[in-house]
Amino acid sequence: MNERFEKWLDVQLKRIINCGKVEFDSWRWKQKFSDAYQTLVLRTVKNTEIRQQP
Amino acid sequence: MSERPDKELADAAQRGDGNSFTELCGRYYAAMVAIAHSITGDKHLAEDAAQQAFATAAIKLPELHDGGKFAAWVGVICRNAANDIGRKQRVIFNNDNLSKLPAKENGSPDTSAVAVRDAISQLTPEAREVIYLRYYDGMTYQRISKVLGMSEEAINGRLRRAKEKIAEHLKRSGFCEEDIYE
Repeated sequence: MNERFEKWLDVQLKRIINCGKVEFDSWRWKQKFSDAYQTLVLRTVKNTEIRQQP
Repeated sequence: MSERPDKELADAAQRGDGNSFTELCGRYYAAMVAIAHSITGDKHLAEDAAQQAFATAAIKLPELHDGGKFAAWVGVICRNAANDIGRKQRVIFNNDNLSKLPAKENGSPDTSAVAVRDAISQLTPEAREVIYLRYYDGMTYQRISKVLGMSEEAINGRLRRAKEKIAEHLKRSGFCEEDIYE
């Protein structure tokens, strides 16, 4: 592959594959997967409870 | 300001810190969408798969032994999620569900872009995945290396081989380099 062809291919791949920026919406994700998120954050409660045990 | 290392965030998330977990999700969301898109060929399904992967990761987080490998670990989960969604929706990667391309300025179809699209659809899943990671959002080799759990040199090699396959496919289908100078 020569340099010129590789540059051309780079441009083509960017045009074809780049579908625009995607952003993670943390608030929406927490709403949509509230069970999974609660499972994660409830570990804080458990950790705190364990630390507080005499 | 330098970003907090993955390990620090993943370790905090394992202790139940939701903000650290969502920071990691934000950091690797584009990469996960790129991986899933390379499997399903559909952007919306890819976003669903990436979000589902983070939900699975939130539940399975205690199973992650090295927080520094969070990206590669969630990448495996995301591939599985994308394959599941693809099977359920009966979607397979083909060049029809790649992004729609603009025509040339004179309104004629862009034959070179169509040929490249066709070549992408002929790649192996691994080759297509690395191409997507690199060109989806201009991801750095460093980030791709974390997501695939491979060295930057190995990524460079895989990327080069994938591009050579595309070039070979273009040649086989009668596309010649002069076409690019039209």
